[in-house]
Amino acid sequence: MVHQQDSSVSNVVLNTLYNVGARDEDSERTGFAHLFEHLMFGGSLNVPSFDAAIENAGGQNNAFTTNEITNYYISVPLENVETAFWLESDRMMALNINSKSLSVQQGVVIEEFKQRCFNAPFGKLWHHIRELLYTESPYRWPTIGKEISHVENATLSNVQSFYNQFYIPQNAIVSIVGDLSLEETKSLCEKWFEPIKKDGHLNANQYTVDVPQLERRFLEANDLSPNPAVFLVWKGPSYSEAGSLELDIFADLLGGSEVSDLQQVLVKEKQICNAAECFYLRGLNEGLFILYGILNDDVSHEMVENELLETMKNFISRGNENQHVFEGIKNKAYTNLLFDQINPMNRAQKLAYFENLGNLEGINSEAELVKNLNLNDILSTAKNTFLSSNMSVIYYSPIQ
Amino acid sequence: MSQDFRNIAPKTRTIKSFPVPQIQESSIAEGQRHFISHTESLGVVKIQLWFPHGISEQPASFVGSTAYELLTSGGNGKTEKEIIDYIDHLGANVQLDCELYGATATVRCSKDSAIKVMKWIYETIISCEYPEREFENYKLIKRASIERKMQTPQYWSGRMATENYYGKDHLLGKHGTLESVDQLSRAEVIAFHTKHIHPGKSMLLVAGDCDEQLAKDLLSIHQSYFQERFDLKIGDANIDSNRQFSDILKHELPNSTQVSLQLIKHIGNLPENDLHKFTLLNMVLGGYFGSRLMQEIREEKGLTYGIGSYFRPAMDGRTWIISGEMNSENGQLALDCVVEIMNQLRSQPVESEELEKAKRYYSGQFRSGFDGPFSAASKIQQKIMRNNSDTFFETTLEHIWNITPEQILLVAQNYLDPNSFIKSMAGKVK
Repeated sequence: MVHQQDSSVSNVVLNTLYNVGARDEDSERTGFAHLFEHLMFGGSLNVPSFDAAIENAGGQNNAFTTNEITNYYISVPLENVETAFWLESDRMMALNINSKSLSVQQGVVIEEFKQRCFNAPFGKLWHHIRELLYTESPYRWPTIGKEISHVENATLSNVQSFYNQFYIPQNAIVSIVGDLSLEETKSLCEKWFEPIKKDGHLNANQYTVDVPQLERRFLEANDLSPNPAVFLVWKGPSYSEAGSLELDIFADLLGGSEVSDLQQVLVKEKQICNAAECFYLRGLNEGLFILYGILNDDVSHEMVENELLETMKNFISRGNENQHVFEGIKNKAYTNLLFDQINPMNRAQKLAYFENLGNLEGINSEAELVKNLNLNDILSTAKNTFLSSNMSVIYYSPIQ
Repeated sequence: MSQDFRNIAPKTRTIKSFPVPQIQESSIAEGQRHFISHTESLGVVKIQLWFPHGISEQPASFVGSTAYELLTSGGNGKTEKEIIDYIDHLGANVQLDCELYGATATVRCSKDSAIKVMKWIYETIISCEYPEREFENYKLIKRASIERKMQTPQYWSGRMATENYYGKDHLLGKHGTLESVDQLSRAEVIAFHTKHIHPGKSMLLVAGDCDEQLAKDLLSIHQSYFQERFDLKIGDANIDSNRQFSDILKHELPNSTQVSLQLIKHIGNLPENDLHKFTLLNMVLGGYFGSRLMQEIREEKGLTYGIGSYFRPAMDGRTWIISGEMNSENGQLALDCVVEIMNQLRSQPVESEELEKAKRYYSGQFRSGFDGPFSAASKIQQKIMRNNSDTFFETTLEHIWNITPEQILLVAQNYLDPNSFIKSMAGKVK
């Protein structure tokens, strides 16, 4: 349990992170962690209706699933905080898993799958990226699942064993932010969570690892999109490893604003793209650096791939000439961190995330780490990451 | 240890009143009002310049929004890059949003850099020249963004519904198209800027770690630019809300696997007390997870990932929108369910338990809406925009808790007739 008292807000956030995500799924039953997230709102032994109880307390709740974690949060008025503890602990102790709830949520998740992947431009992007980057590792499918049939075919017994294996106190981190003292919080945790005893152990997070990538990988994808696009992807260090924050800031430097090089060169000067951006997705196992351009008419994929790479290369080779831009991006990242911390929900989620990393104290040094970054380290990390042997390329074309 | 205590839900308290956070109001030349909400907030502030002229005053589609969105594109010898580099260097973020009535420039920055940032922003706004190259690039980007939207069923169901309900030439029914982007003229954008956009016409809202000295300095800068008193003129939609619609509008998207459903109607200006009844009726209908639409169509039947109802501010009133996406096989079934739920609400009073739950949920959300240093400023903006009374926030919960099931029934009978909503479906329509 992680706690932070904040007397400036009227609500308390109770956040519960389970160390389970899409990477823990069987390759023939993908999308399961996310389907399970939906089932967690179906009521439990002592709670006939989870949502009704929260709503009656004037609170709200939701959850999200990634490849690595599943995170639930409840925000309730301080005077009704015990309701949040009751609900969260009861579904940890004895979730009501039944065929009606499973079949309804299968229908809901299938519609979510279609809405996100089939009816939105570039909706299947993550399917393509993951299939190209990974051959053996469970990171090779996205959280929503590899295909709809996997969600359709989930059985009650699959669901029950998933719950038994992962939804145990040993595998959960609870974080609380609000106007509750540590003593009050401890006492609530002791009452509601401590008595829950279940067999099992903390997820060991051992996964099949792909053989290292040694050459450029390439995929042509035909999907819903108004324009063709080029996506370039490199694997990089995990959240806790050296170089992760550096690549995050490098993405801001290269493509984080209206006047960054990607925008200036590809969109404004050469007018070969109507969007050119990049970002670093910092994962627990490793990170993914994504650099992309959406093509204007009569421009080839090859040309944009070359221009994306050339723009990045030129930026890196300018070295210390980028110092002024770097100071700006660093200042902005620092201010953004401060703004992020204002929202109690963000803080509760971050506390649980850092505890899951095994580095709770890290949350206090985040801003300092940003302040202490230096440009040479960032450029040298970039040079070591963006190798052609580590690059995967997707040429996206609209379906006719 | 016995776990029997879990059988009984912890007692919950209802929130019927709470001290609404106070906002400091100042005035400068000609009684121009400005608002400052001071809280300790890690040394950061959110500063908003709220302009009274928006889309409603543009001569052609996208002219107003382009004029605001390109405010940092360059002028007076400074390029876009120089302008944004300086803002970045001060660690600030600027966001420009244009709405039907009014527009907002929102600046998030550290308390220490606030004065430098704002001086820069004021001068940037005044001297914007909309350089040709930035303008043409913007058009290309805008075009691509519309093309992306046009591939989604939601875009078409929304567009068909508003175009046909309000009319293609009505302010609320007009849609910017690819053709309107192509026809967008730089001269018109510059003319819009000259006529309407100046910091001296805007209202200042500051929230966060703004102490007395910073407030004084910000007001002093603002005063030095003063041109005219902020005056928000909201027009009348002039729509007959009782018109009847029998057909369902359909738009086919061959590559889609779902259908997007929308039902809309206009609700004109309402007295505050009726507004609260409406708010509650909408909540019971589709305004939160516990609503009938979500419970019956998603949680009971599993037909959709999301369906709900909400109000979108629209001129003197609001557009009431019911929308959701579902499997193409289930579009008609979902529509039938929606209509049935509407008719139920018109034929019998809501159970008191259901209404109580909606009130409790609303009260909790309403109060937490003031949590955090920046929420109060947003609330103030909403209050002015919607022309609510000075005591609106203080009296809201009292009004909400006094509403009876019979009053909800009456509002539903008057306004929730399914035939008074236009209905549209887009996607793979069966």
